[in-house]
Amino acid sequence: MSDRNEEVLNVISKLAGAEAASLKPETELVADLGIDSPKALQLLVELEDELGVEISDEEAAKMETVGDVLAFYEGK
Amino acid sequence: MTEAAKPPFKSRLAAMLLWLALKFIGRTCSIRSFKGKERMEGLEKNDQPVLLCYWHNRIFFFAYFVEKALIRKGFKLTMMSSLSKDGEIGAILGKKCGALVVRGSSSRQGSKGLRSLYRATAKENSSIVILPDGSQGPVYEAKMGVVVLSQLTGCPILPMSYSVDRYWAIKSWDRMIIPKPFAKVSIEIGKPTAVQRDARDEEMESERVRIQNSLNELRDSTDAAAKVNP
Repeated sequence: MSDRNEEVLNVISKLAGAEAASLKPETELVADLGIDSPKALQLLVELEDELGVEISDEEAAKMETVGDVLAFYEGK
Repeated sequence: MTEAAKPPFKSRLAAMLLWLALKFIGRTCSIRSFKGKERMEGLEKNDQPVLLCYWHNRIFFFAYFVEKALIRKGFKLTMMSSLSKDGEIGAILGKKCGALVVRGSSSRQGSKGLRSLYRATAKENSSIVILPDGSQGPVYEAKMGVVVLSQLTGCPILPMSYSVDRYWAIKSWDRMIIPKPFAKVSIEIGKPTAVQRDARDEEMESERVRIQNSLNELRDSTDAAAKVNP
């Protein structure tokens, strides 16, 4: 796993209160991790701050699973 | 940031009528008491944005009051209006009051709306107004959005409330209060507090409850003040 992927998983795991190892690409941010609107804002701000890549609203709207978030960073 | 599409005629007409009512009622009302006034003074000159925070049913007079007391003096303010038809009317009214408006809600596209508020504060140095039990209630129950915005921006939350001696109570989810013309208004501004950036989940929940309690105390205090005969 790349360092960046690990950083992304750490941010998600910290915010969702879940073990990073338990996060799978198919894990759903809302249904499985309970990421509601305020948590989603925290997640996006933390990701932008930690990884230094701005996420547009359109890109954020496409992030439904952990895999979607990882794929976004792999494309950058 | 603002919506580009022109709203339907019905919404614009309703907003215009509400605007006229707001102006008429606001101008005829008088302030009976104003506790914590010093907490609002000079906000328009302050570089630090604040999160003005009050219950949804207090929106009517505060729309008039905030425009007159702050926006007119150059205070930069952004508000969120829901994506519903009522929200569309609210958005038009907000713009007429001189506020910047973002669309969204806690129930639909909420994170986009919250994110727009975050950007307005963090990137554009705008204060925001947030109604923590909106847009769909339950009434007098604060949601987490205001706490997260304070945590991420470092901006203080300024809780505020008002009551009037004579008003119409609308049978809506929020029990909207519309002051009657020539009503006497009691306003109270609470103590500003900011949420720490490193706050944990349980601390965030404590903050949410604290804000809720603070707003309810201000509501009760202004209710009591408004009923007092001078």
